[in-house]
Amino acid sequence: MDMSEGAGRTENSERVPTGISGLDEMLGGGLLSNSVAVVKGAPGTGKSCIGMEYISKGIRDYGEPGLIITFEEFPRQLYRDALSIGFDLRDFERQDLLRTIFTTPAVFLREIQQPGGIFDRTIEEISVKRVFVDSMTQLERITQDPVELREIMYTFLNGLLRYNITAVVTQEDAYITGNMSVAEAGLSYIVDTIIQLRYVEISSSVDRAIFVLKHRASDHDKRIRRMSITSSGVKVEAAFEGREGILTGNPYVSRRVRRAEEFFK
Amino acid sequence: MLDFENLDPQVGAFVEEYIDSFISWDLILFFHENPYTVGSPSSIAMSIGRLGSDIEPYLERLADKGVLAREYRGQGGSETIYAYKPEPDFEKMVIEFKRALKDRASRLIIVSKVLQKEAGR
Repeated sequence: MDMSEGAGRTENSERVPTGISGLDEMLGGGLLSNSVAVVKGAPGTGKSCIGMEYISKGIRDYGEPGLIITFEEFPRQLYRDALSIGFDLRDFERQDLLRTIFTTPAVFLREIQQPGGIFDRTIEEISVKRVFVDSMTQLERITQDPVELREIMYTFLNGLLRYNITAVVTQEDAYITGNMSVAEAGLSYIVDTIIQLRYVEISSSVDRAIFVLKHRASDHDKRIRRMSITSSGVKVEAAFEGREGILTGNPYVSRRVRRAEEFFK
Repeated sequence: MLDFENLDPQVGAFVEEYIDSFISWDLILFFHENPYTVGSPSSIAMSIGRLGSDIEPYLERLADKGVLAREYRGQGGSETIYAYKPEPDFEKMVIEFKRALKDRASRLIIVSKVLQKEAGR
């Protein structure tokens, strides 16, 4: 069975713009409607910033109420972090356009499964269209058994998709640079879109890189692009031109560029 | 100086009614700052650095007073989860309570009152 074809999912090619400068262009217009996208990366690469901006822009620019589910960071920390990139989550909550649920994976999994549970009620109360879950890695607290964990993730994501919502979830990479794994607990096979964030060391400083590893049944930008986090949100910039080995975290100047540099010496 | 009468009467009434221990103090501020928390006693306890068994009676008391909503889950409703459901007036009072805590004299009065309550239990 293809785990990406959950029962609640609607078949369409509609796009849900993230609203993030440059990212929608990479995604051919946005995320697939009623789908789940995972943003993977090491701590500090900007996963939560992408999620918070996706929710905030949805509310502010597209009139789509949002739900944030946080398993680790306290909402008060998210409110603070969101403010530093230009979004006032508390204000959205006051306007009943957002809920930030702080809970444990075990409690939330049970709520998703519970008919009329807190998840169902929250979705209905404010007509949620966008969900951000931070982070799926925390589901590992429920079980260490990989088969069971995969089933839990599958249940969890299909529970999210019962409603006509589009979800962004995060997953933490264990390695800061270098090694890169794709499919912890099979999550990468279940989701429709994988956005990978990486640290890249260039000339003794660390940059952030972003690329779209998977975007089901869609054409997308295959380039690795530079990403920055500013006081007005996430900016996806130009590709790393003239460098190779970006994914290793230690890129080198490509032979073509080196020859050109030697030519001009 | 530590006379309860020197405290803002509204804050005094709030402390009298809701802050019967340092745990209820922690819980009220925690839920106020993280208003859509949903959790079991053990998960909430972890968030405020306490023991689940220690905070359970206080969660129950806050639920009895209508500050928290409680729902029963699991086989035969054996597990309870709690969420914050305060009236707007209660939220206003928490804001006043927080303001009072920033004032050293008021804070000392409140601490002494809570210590008194804890000693009397």
